[in-house]
Amino acid sequence: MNQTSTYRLMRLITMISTPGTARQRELGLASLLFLFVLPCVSAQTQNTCLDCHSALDPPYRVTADQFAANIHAQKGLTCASCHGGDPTSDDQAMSRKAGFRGKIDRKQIPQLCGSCHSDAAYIRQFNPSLRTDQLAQYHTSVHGRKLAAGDTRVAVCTDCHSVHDIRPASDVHSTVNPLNVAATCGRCHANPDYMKPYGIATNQFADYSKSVHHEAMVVRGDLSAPTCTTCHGNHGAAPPGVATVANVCSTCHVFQSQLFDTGPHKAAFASAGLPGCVTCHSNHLIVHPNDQMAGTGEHSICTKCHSEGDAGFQAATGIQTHLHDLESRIARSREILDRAAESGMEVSQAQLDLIQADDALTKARVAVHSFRPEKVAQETASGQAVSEKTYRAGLDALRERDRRRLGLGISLLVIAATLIGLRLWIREIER
Amino acid sequence: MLCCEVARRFRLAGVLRETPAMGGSIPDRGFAAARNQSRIASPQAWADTRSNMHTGETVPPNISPGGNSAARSSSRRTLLKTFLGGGIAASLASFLYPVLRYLVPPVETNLGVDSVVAATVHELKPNSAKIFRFGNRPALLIRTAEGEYQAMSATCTHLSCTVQYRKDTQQVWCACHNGVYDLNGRNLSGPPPRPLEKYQVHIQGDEIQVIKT
Amino acid sequence: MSIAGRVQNWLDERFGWAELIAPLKEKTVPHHRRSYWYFLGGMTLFLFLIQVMTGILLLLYYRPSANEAFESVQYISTQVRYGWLVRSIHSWSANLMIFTAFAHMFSVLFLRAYRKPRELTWVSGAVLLFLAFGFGFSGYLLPWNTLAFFATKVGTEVAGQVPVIGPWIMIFLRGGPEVTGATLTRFFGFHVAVLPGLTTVLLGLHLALVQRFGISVPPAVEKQWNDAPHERREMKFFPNFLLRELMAWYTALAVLGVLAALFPWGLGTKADPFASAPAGIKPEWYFLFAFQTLKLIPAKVLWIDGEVLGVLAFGAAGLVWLLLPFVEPRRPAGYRAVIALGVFAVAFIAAMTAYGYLSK
Repeated sequence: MNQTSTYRLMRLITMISTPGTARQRELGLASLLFLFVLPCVSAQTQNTCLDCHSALDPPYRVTADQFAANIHAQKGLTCASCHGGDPTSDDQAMSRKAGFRGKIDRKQIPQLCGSCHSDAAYIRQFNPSLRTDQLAQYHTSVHGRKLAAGDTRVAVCTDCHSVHDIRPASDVHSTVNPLNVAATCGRCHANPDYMKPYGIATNQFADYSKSVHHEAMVVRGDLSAPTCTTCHGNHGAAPPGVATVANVCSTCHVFQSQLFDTGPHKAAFASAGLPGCVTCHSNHLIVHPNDQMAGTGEHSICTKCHSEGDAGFQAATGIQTHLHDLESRIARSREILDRAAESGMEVSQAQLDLIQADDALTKARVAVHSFRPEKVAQETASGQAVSEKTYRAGLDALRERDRRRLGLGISLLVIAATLIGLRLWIREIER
Repeated sequence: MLCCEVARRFRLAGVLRETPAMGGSIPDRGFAAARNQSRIASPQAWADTRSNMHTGETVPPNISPGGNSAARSSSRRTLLKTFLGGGIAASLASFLYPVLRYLVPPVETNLGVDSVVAATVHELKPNSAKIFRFGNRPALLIRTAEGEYQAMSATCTHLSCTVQYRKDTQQVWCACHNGVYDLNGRNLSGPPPRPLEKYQVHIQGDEIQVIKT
Repeated sequence: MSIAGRVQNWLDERFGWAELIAPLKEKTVPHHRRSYWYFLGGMTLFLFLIQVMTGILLLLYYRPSANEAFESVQYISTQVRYGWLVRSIHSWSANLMIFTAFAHMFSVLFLRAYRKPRELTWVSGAVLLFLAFGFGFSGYLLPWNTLAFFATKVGTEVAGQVPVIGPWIMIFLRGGPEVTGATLTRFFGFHVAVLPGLTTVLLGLHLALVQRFGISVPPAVEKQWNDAPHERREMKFFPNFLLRELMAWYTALAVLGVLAALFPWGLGTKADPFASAPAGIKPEWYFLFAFQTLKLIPAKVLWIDGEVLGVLAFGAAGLVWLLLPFVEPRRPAGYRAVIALGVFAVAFIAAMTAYGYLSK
């Protein structure tokens, strides 16, 4: 043990043995144990702060476990790295002279974090691929701008990343892991009381939780599925504007946006001030699209703007007809092939071919975004051909099955003849 | 249904003969009874009938009211025998024929569950691919520009469209929603959430065998 | 001499053929109002022989591993020439055989053919019935489809409810704690080797006993024939009864052909051990009455677990059934108890089977 440790040990033993409050003895014992657990710890990672703060009540409570999970602690930083003071000494731990800052004022938190995280040279020592533009982005965000204007209720670094148990985003328990991001944003944005002064909706989290993007991530396990930060940005968080939201969607939904750009809606929406994509699909409550959305039926979205007689209505009718036609043909083929298969006929090749028709239907549904029936028809055409072919294969299989029944009929005749013969023979020998 | 028919035949055939009384609780011993049986016809309607309890041998009955009916019944018997024999033979043939056809193994003996012959060695040029059938789903066999073979499932992990190989980008591409995979099946960009299931490729002689790992 | 005569001579010189078959030639079958029930035993035997033959044919192509079993049955049904016929006949004949076995058993009960000295014939028959259940249960799993997988899971779990030795029985049946490919291999072994071996021995015993004591006559008819000996009627087995039996067998073949061609046995979907059980899992119809009864027993009866009670009750019932001739009360009208038991059994089985089908 080095000099400082010995000194501390002496102090602790004195503390424990002197009569004093039970609490002091408790603290002393706790630190004694802590000492023996880490006898040869280097001065840099010595963290006396935890000696006391692990036993205090919230909000002062920071346990050793909590801090051990912190990525900063794992990289060798201590409480003093942010809060100042001298972590190696009990006396100087909270000394203003040693630079102790106490609880950091909210307005100063981004600057404090940015003091390291915007320093590319410094961060390079720990993780060269980590970005260092978070603070700059934050200044452009709604949160950053409001904070600069004096509103301390908006989110700062610690609101999203947590304070003492900051984990990297790849950690499943991290508040900024993709699986948890929506809940983290929802802590404020889904709280109507908290958001009252801002006058914006608070149903986004509820809507998102019902969306197909949420389902992709949570149910199907696709971590690359969009969450709040994917469309809004994380450090530079701001809602995409009406004119630009389509650009956000098109980063993933490339084909649909390309088709949309060539179609009649792009100009129409722009002049009406309507956002692309969101107008039909909503922004947060994005549900799984179905064929009823295109068309003129009860659940149609087209009829929200188009009425009977106009070109859009006709296009919608045409599109739905093509989709419905292919879907019903595929269903018909599938049904007959299943019937044949249940009867024991070999139709596996036809069933495999029918998958191509499914593919055509999927592509046709993408082509809907051109809002031109001809383009949709182009895709459904190949699907229809495949459906026809497989349907005929099913009919052939059923015909073969009927031939079997004919064979059965023949053998039944033979059996009947034998039965009659037997009966007559019995009569003969017993007359 | 069956029992009524049989009962009727019982009545028609009138296969009855006498046996001496058997004691109430003495067990019926099938063959003991037979040995003790009287072969004298009962004093009933069948008095004139020679009991022709043979195993089917043709013995014309003695009740000939005239030689004519004897000849007729003999020829009827022969006819019946032929008919019955033919019927039984035909029925046996109709049972035996499917069995014999069954015993001949079909041409394709591979069930296609674990491994499949996807192509022959000279079939694919470098930088080209082929969709083949593996079990009940499509699969993709790629011959890379360097001449190596890669095989993987051709069912896109996004919404199950069938993927294809693109010569220009030398990657696997799904035309439905622009999903892209590399030549190892790993999903690179676009909606696919998972890689394509990879298969092993073995070259045996002239054949390229694809095996599920 | 005819060919048949020459063959007989040849056999006679080497096997003593004439002497061997002499008793068979003299074999007779009693003829009375109820004697058409006598066909059922032979029908069960015939259907069993059909099972053996179609089973051997299926063996040529079936692969008993979890990976390939389903596909091999699919292969038989779709690729092998007349494979569909062999497979459907095998499945249908199994069901028909169990039905005729039940009918044969109940006809023996109600016609009281189990009386002394034929008690062991009954006992061997009861064991044969249980072996038939074993055939049905083990064979049902072999196509390895979803229904079969879960039916086996449920069935072996019920077996595991027997007190003390239950878990061991379940592990023995399953070849492990869960239903896996090991279970399939084991059931295959039971189905094609163990059970056929046991059945052959017991069937031989059963038929030998029938041959030894001849066909039983119902008590009422026996009394009538004792009082009026001239009314006794016996039919020769060869060729008369046998010809009639042949007619019945041909009819059965026709029925099987119709069933196989018009109602082919389906394949289902390949079993996925990790998927959850589909709703409404039911065992085959011959187990349905027991399954339904177990479902109806409340979870706890007094201090005993309901399912355990049910299993024990069925076990006890099985034991009583096996030893029925010996448990018949010895007093003069003691047989009425057995008849009543028989009526109750038929009614119970029929009612529970119907209930099982109608309920979800």
